[in-house]
Amino acid sequence: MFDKEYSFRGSHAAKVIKLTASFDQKNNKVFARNFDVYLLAPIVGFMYGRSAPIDRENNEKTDIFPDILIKNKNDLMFNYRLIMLLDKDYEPDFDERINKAFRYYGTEKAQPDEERYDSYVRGGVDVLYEKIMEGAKKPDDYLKNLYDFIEEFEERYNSSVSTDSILNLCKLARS
Amino acid sequence: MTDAETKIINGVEIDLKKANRMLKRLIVKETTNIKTKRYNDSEMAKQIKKIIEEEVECY
Amino acid sequence: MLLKNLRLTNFRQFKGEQLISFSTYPDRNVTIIMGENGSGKTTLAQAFTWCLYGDTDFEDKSMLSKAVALNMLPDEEASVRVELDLVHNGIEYTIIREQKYSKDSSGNLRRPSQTTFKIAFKGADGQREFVPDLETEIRMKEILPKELSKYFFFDGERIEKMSKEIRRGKSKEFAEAVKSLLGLSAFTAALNHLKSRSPSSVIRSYDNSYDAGSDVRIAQYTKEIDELDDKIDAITRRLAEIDKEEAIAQDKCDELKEKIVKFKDSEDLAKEREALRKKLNGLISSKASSTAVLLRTFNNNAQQYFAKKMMKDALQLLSEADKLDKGIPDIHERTIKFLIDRGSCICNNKIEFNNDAYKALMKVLEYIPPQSLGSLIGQFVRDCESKSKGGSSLFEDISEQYRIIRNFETDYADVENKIKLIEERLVNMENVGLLQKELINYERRLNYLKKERDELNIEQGSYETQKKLKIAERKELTLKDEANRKIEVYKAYAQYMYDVLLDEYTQKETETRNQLQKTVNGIFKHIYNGGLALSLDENYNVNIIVNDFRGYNSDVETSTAQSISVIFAFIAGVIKMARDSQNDENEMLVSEPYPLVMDAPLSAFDKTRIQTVCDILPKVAEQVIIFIKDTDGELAETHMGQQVGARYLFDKKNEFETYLVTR
Repeated sequence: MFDKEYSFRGSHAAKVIKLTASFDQKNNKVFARNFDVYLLAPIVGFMYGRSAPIDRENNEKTDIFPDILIKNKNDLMFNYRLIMLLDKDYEPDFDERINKAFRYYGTEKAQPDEERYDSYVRGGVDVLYEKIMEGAKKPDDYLKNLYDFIEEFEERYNSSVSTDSILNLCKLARS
Repeated sequence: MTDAETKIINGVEIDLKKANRMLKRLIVKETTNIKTKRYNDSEMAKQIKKIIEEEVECY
Repeated sequence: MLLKNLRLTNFRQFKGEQLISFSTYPDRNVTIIMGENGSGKTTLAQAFTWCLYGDTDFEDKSMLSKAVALNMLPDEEASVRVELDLVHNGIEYTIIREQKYSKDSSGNLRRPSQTTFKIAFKGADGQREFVPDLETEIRMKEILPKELSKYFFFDGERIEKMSKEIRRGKSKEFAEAVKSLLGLSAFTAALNHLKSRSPSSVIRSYDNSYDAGSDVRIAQYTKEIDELDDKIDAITRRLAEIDKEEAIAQDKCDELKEKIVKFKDSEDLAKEREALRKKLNGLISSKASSTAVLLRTFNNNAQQYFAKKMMKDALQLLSEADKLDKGIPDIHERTIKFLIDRGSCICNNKIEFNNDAYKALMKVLEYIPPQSLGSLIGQFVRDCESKSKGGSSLFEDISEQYRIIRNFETDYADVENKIKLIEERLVNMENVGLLQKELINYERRLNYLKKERDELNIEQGSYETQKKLKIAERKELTLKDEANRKIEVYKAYAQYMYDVLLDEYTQKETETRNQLQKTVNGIFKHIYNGGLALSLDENYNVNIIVNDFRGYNSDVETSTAQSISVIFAFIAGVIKMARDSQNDENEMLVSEPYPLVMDAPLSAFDKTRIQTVCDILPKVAEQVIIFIKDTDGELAETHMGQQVGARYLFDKKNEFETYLVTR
């Protein structure tokens, strides 16, 4: 799935366009490219438990070209594996989740998994839009919203996850 | 003003009684004129001369 | 001089004929006229000066009511008229000034005619008579000279300028006016009649009446003495001019020096402003760069950061499930395929399709490169490792940048405000180079004047000596002749009277000045209690002196409050003196009470001083007429209630029409 063109559609396209639009005269944007939204959105969607179907209300659409996707395939795969490994609601059996994360990708078996992943992408776009864009009127508002969003995330999740604890787990995994 | 009867002014002896009498008349005249504005400056000067000459000549 | 009535006809916003009668009761001598700013207070005050001297401070010199002008038909005529009834020296006068306005045939207002000025008075028989036209100006001067009028028709808003004038002793004529006001005019008149430049003065006319028949040299001497007198007079006049010029130049020098000092400040201020502007730009660019850095950090590391928790949970799961490392070091898929193809294992066991060895080897394939589960997981773990490092400082980094951005607003406003303050201070500052040049010019002028004065003094001295000599020689000649000797005697008497009068006048004048200083000080201390005192020099310059316990006396800078107090004390003092000297038994002093007409004076004072002022005013002035704002007016009435004899209100209908109503 990460080697062909990707398109945001309908309301999600509209939201992505706004998320990647300049918000001040200095051409500052919250997200530099559609791809940057695409890279973060599934994580956010998953963490906030938000998924969304494809919106076909209108024909709006905005694309990410395959070359960017291919170039960054590793990062995208990383997202995919994380979600597959952790999505207990989708697949309660851990061994099967491992298969989904590491084996099935690219095969026909992975079709519904990829659907699942995409719905997190869209859910994430919704969350990012709500958190960062809504209620913002002047340039400073966007920065404030972005900061508040990160701060909220820091307090809720990351403050209890030290980088060291991850590195220790990595060591443990390799020994 | 002074008890002396005479005084030398510009080498001329003057009678102080006369002098002070004309001085008094002068001030009264001036005070009245300020109120009435009847005479102008040269008329006033003429009248003062009249006072002086009259006082000097009289006994 | 007491004011009785003011009648206005179409004067500015006072449309039609309007009358205001001032209180002249001795015990209720205050008239209060209240109105908001813009309702006509200043106009009414100006009506006095227009009526008496034909002057106003208005920018629009048309006195005609706009409402009247608007309704005038082409070729129609209208007139503006102000009449002031007053009593001066026991005579009832009516001062009348009138100006005619007309429209041309197309309805435009023509340039107004010259004003006509008339003074009517009630003659001894009660009949109304007019002062001859040629004498009106002179008579007006006698009633109240213009230069003195501003101290009685007193504009609170010009108070500071006036105080400077008084402190500078700007005008000799003011000193003269004060003297006459204080009842010394009989002396000055007598002195003037006895001896002055005028050929009709007593001594001068005696000089010219010598009978030259006895000796031609008498006429010659008289002529020469006259010429010397003229020269001496010319020098005296020039010296007075020099004094004036010098005062002006000195004022200008002081002003310039002050400005230059200020400009020194301005250079520093400009530097400070430049620094602040740089700071402002620095703030703007630091905000911009912080924004860029923040967004870049976010874009580069968002995935790593937001996935942190997920990574930890995933790693936890994987390590618990023991799925992490089942690969065999350095064994590749190709190795296994080779063994299967060869049909025998490294351990020499036979490998056949679906036998145990085959199954075991196929299992191994899952854990070895290139697509073994184990190595995929291993790769995943390595990804976690590098990504967790990448995202570790995102929150701190972004927080730091955001702090800068957030502080920008207050920092920016702070700096901007500082710049604004500096710019306000810089507004009136000028180029120091030009100021220096100007200063040098004035200083040169001062030096020149000083030199000129020194030379003139020497010249004058020599003329005086020559004159004395010639007078002595002439006298010798005249005494030889009977008629001329008589003249010499008359002259001696005139000279004697002159000397006595001058002596007495000087004494009286000093006495009066000291008395004035005392009176002014008494009032000043009452208004301004702060260890300061006023002194008057012989030119009636007012100096402020610090009364210190250590006896340290010096002229000090005046603040606005001080200035106001000075001028007020001075005016109140002069009026009080004028009033007191009228009650004096001494017939030789002639004086006249004067009213105090003030435009909005109280707004210049603070609340505590208003009471003092209200207290003193009706006591020092025979008559007080004040135009006042409603708010001030209520205060004034609270403090002067007993003394108020008449109350008026400005009823403002619109911009062009105000009516005076009795309250």
